[in-house]
Amino acid sequence: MKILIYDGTFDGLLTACFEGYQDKTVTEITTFDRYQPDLLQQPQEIITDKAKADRVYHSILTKLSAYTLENIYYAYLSELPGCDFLCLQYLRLCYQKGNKINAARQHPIIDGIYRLRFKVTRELDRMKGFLRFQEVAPLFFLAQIEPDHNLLPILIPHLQKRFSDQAMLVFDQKRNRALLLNGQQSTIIPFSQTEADNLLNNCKADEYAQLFRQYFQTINIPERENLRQQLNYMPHRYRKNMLETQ
Amino acid sequence: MQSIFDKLTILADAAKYDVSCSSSGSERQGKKGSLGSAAKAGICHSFTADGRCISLLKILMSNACSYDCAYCLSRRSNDLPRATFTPQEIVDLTINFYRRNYIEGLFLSSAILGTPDYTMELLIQVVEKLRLEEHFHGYIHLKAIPGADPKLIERAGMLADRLSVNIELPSEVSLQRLAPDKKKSAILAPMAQIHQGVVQNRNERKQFKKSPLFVPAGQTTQMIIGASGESDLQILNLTSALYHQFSLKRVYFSAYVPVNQDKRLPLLTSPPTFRENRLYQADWLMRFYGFRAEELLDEAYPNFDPNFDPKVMWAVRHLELFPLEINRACREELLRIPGIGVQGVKRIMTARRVAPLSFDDLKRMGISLKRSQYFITCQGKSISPVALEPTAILRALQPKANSPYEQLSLFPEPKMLTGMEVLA
Ligand code: SF4
Repeated sequence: MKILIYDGTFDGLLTACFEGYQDKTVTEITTFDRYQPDLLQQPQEIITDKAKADRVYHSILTKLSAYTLENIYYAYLSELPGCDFLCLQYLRLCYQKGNKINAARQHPIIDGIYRLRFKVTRELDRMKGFLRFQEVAPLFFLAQIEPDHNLLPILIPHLQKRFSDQAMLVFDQKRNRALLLNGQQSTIIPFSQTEADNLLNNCKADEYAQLFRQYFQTINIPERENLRQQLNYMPHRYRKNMLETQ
Repeated sequence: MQSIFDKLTILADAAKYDVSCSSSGSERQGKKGSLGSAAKAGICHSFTADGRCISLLKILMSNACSYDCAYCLSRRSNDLPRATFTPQEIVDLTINFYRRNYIEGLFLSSAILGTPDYTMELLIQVVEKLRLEEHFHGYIHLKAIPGADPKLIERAGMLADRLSVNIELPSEVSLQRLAPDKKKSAILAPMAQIHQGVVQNRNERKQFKKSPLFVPAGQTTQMIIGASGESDLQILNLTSALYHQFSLKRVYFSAYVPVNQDKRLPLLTSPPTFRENRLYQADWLMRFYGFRAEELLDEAYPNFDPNFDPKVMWAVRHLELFPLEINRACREELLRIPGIGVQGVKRIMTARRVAPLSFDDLKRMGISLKRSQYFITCQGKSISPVALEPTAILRALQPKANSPYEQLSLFPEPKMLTGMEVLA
């Protein structure tokens, strides 16, 4: 019973898959952050190796498909318990049965992968709508989010396409990281709540926030109240960063 | 002088009964260095306490109406605060809301301010400023004002993503009675014109990729349900005819909210949302499930059942076609099973090519058996607890006393992910 521990990067996960592929004693993969010592499992540290990661990456692309690679990436971003080991099991299954196994939704591993993919893409779609920017300097906008899954890397294409003429900082409060981007460039940096607060405290109250709050109240039709439906579509955990429901 | 805050309050309030607020289906692309892109699936930015999606900034240019429609709060004869935006005010609101990611774009309509032509001119000024001065590439839905000059409609179509003309009421008689200033011909003419424009534009773009877009997200319409006496059958037939004649993207139904005291209007205590629900379900069945209007309702059953959705009602009237074997039924057949949606059908068709499916497989694949169990077999086996017989099935499917049908989760613009599944 062996547990592989990697550094939390995607290359790290691919390295772990490389190391663990043949080793049937591996029963779990996790990251340093998430690792909980367990007497029954023997920990093995994985040192991220770009060359090994690249080999896995290209082998998936050429021998399996871009779709399979995407599935692994989404599963990795989900950061849910068991997601990393599921990636290894999924890879073994795909290499054994061929890419067509992706159609077998009734298979527990395939189904598990789809469920993770669904969770991540659903939250991504929600966040494209729920993210709220505040203008902290002329044409420089800040948003704070606290997503279940690690969304920053996959928010980039959407934000760049849509707001190609503004500078943006999207702060992930849960992971203490921020995505800093404009229409051309993007980077993910360590970031803290204190730094975010500093930016927010140094700008004046936003009149458009006020106007939108009023719009949100006004457009509601009280005769048709349906709080259950509102809750289904907009769970409470997202509301604390949305000005209209704060 | 009214402040922007006051105007927004008055003119958002006056626009809120218009149900169409979707922003989907446009092919307008973002451009490097300018603001905005239209997302293919449409994005909901928030949800109000009535459970509706906020996608667009939905406001009226003005509520100072010179018409007097019985069902409308803004009608001339009502004594209430009036306001009119300047085009620049709307442009500023739109751009600044958009930059903060509050909205997908603008949905602009208006009461008749003086004449239809004058009103349409004002709306066009707003879009021209947005597109040509601000280089805004976000989504714009404009109301085409019935009775406006066709040249104005044409100009609007070159700039907006979507145009809509409201058919308002399900029959000409009702229109005459409740909206005496409006003429059926004045409503149908711009609809026909937009339809022609879209068809012509599609052909041009086949030859010249660079031809400018004309209403790329198509046209829609809406009608008010329950303010006049038409049956669901009449409404459904009209809907189906509108889809065919004008190739509409959507027909929206709006349960009449009793806002005015008027002898011509029915006395309602609450809006007939359950009827609206059923009509939307039927509309989905016609557009995505291959049902025809006359299969769902006929002279013998001219109205939907409040307790059961139209697909269940169709199925219990056609039990000779069931049970269907999940591993053999074709796509068209699978689509007709109550409780199974378009996504579910897709999943079944893919998965069964690998290996035959059992009930456990279906559950694992996220396919609900709650309603479908009465109508299917897996590898010859059935798990239905009751006989294949209409009354037994309906008794089993009867909604529980504490879950009234009004609570059914289905709304005009469901979130894109659940959109296809709402019927299932
Ligand atoms: S034209 Fe009729 S429906 Fe439209 S705002 Fe005026 S009164 Fe209301």
